[in-house]
Parts: sequence; structure tokens; C-alpha cells
Amino acid sequence: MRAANGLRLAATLLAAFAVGTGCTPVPTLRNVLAQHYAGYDQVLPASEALPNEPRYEYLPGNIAAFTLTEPRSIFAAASWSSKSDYCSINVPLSLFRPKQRNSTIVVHDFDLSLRRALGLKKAQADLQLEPNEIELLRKVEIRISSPKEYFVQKTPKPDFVQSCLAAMTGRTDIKRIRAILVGDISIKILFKENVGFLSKTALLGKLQSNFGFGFLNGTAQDMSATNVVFAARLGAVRQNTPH
Amino acid sequence: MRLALTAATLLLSAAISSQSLARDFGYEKFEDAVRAVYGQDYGTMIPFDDITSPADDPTRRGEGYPGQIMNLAAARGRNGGVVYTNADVYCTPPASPAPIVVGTTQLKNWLYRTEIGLNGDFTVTGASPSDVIFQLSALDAKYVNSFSIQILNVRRYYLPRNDLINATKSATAACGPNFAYGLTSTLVGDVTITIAFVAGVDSGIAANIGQHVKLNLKLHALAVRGGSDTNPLLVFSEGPKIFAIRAEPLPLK
Repeated sequence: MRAANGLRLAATLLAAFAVGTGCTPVPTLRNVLAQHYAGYDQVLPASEALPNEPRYEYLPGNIAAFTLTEPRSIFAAASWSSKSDYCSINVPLSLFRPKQRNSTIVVHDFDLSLRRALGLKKAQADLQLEPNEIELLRKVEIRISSPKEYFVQKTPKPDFVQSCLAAMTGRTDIKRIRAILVGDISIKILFKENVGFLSKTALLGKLQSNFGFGFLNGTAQDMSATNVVFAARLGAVRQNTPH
Repeated sequence: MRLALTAATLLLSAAISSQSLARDFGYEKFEDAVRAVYGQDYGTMIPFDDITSPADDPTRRGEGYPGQIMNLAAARGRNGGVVYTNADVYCTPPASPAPIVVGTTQLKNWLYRTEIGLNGDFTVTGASPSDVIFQLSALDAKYVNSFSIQILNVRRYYLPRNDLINATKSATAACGPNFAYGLTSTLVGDVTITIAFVAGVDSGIAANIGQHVKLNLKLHALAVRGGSDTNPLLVFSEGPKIFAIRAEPLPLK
């Protein structure tokens, strides 16, 4: 706990230092995770949480294969792609006792805060936008509401299918899912005036990919995902005794 | 006999590859979007394929359920993604396991804007004039302002590894060794394709282009006309369709 607090403080100090030196982190999901949910990484594909499915892919304790898509940095969490090769603990999420985490709101005013911090070039690079595209944005707000943390528990005990574990043995790409974050996510994007429909549509399509969020419902400029697994903590698997 | 079947499969795959649609710039860019949103291992399936809902197909005999074995032409795109061309050759395991079905990311407002080059040649950002884009010829495409794909109500079908191994093994035992891939996960959604034409396009030309798109993407529904005289649109809307899959060479390990 003390270590986690220390990490959070260090991350906050680093972020404050970064703002002061003009390296403002842009609110992609990876940046929001690094700042507010230290130790968690993004996992793709995003998935709604299924409470009563014991074979669910993102259950804490599952052994699963992942590919590292983006490495972790000071300002950004890592991003992992699930290979959908996994062995389930066969205990549904409804039998876990989740811990409530703090909600988060990140607002980025592209007219003021980023320009003031001289971070516009970094924002453009992080969001993979063309110079003319970033000029269309006025504000981005990212809100993570009611996040719950589900983590590996001693009871109920995992009930792995042994043949599944045997098939995964020896693979170097497998991880144990140690914890997941489940919550509601919304993004609001405000454009500058007089931006045409086609420009907005094109930019939104690009932003959706580059923010890395899963949108389960919503309209183009007000995107949201409800009850979605948006991050996970992955750990190593001891190959001799994976369960 | 087995060797002959394997050789025939390889020849079939090669034949499909040679006429593969995968070098289509539009499909390749769509695959980039699929990888960014759903993860590196998902490949675009072309043409998008119909799937019956699990409720209408309780024994899962229709195409597209995880655990089936298939023949597909797989081609790498320019940015490393895989584009699968569906050959509609597949085999279901005798007892096809019920997949886990979970909601996932929608692919919204994915759009291509076309541009006319200085020499009058058609291109889109990043494409060369010789590229084919969504199987439209340059002749057709010069009338197109943009081409967008939106996929809503996206569901992912998948299974744990042990179920996949058992299902693909029993399918191979039942249908023989002449299948190359095991289907491990499927992305399904309601697809809307919107073609925005340049202002003042002749209605006959627009209808003709709509017919090309419908044939090339194997759509069934009639296009709905929309927009205005200055911004005419054709909208195709169908679902649910398989638009991306995860497949592995057999046997699964």
C-alpha cells in the first residue's frame, strides 16, 4: 500500500514536472491509466464484463496469451493485445469481491492548456494527427466513472481444465491476469466552430482508434462504454505450477 | 489419398491467393483500423460474411463459429495486418461448442476521403494512383467524395483454448485433413457503408457505382439514397456480418 502511494506520488510529481517543462501527457487511455491507475495496462480488445460467465476471458487468475503492442513509458501504460488463447479459472465475476476505485475526469483544452504548455506537437504525435487536424479540436474530456477493481482471491479456488493448462505449458507469451478494472467510460469531444461534417467524421474515426477506448454505445461526438473492462494488471506465470 | 487432398488444398489456396483482394488499398487500411481497435491478431474478412445468430442456429452449423475449420486465403497487408479472403469452405465439429458472446468496441465513422490528383487521377491519402480501393475502378472512384464504414452492435465470439483444441480436432477427424485454418475468434456487427458522391453526379452513375459496391462486397440490401443534390449519398445497411476473424494454422497446439 505504501509502495503504491509512493508510486502515485512519483507519477504525480513527474506529471507536474512534465507540464512545467512542456511535455504534457495527452489524455489517451494509456496516459490516463499511467496517471490515475498506476500498474494497470490497456488490454485489447475491450470487452464488456460478463458477471455470470465462468469461462470469461478477462477473469482475474486466468492464464492467457498476450502480445505487447506498446511498451510502458513514464507517461503511458503499456498496451497488450489478447491472443484469445487462454485457460479460464471457471469462477464467474459475480463471485469476486470487487474494490471501489476513484472516478477520474481528465479535461484537455487544446486552445489553452496544451498551447500554454507547448505540448501541441506531442499531442499531435500521440494522437497521430496531421497538423491541420489537431487545429480542429477545442476540448477533449475523458471520464471514468465507478471503476471497480477485481483481483485474484484465495476463495473460491480456481477450477482450471488441466488439458488447457497442459496445452499452454512452455509458451513464452502467457501471462496471469492479476486484476482488472471495470467501469463506465465516456469521451466528449468539442470541435472548433465552422468545422465541416466530413472533417469531424474523419477526425473522430481517427481519434477512436488512437484513444484506444472501446465504445459500446454512443453518438459520434459523445462516446461511451458501459461496464467495460478497460485495463488489466498482468503478471508472470510460473511455468512449473501455473495454477 | 490424404496427400492428394492436401496438394489439392494447397493448389486451391494458391488459386485464391492469386486473385486475392488483399492488395486492395481500402481493405488494407480497414485492416489497420481493425488491428488498432481490436488488437494485433485480428484480420479483416473479405467480403464481409453473413452469420446466423446463435438463437437461430442452436447447433451452430452456419459459418463463422469458433472451433470450425476453414480454408482461407491469407495475405499480409502493407502495414503487417492480415486480410483473409473467405472461400466459403468450412467444416463444423460434430458437437459445435457454444461460443462466449461479448460486446466490444464499435468501429464508428471510419472514413476515406478521395482526392483528385493534379493530373486528374483518383487517389486517397496515402494511396498511389494505381491502387485499387474497395474494388472500385478509378473510373468509378472519381465520382466518389468519401467512402465510410460504420460497424455497430459489435459482438466477439470466442472460446477457451481447450474448447478450441477439442473442437478443431473433432472437426478434422470428421471432415478430413484438407483444411488449413482453425477459427478461434470472430467479430460480428451491423455494417453500414455510406458512399458520398461529388456534387452534381448523374443519378445513373451513382446507381451504377452502388451496384459495383453491392456486388464486390456481396451485400444483399438495396442502397438507400440520401443527402442532397450537393451532397448525394448512397447508404447500405446490413447485419449481422462477420468483418474480422482470428484464425490459426491447423493443428492448434
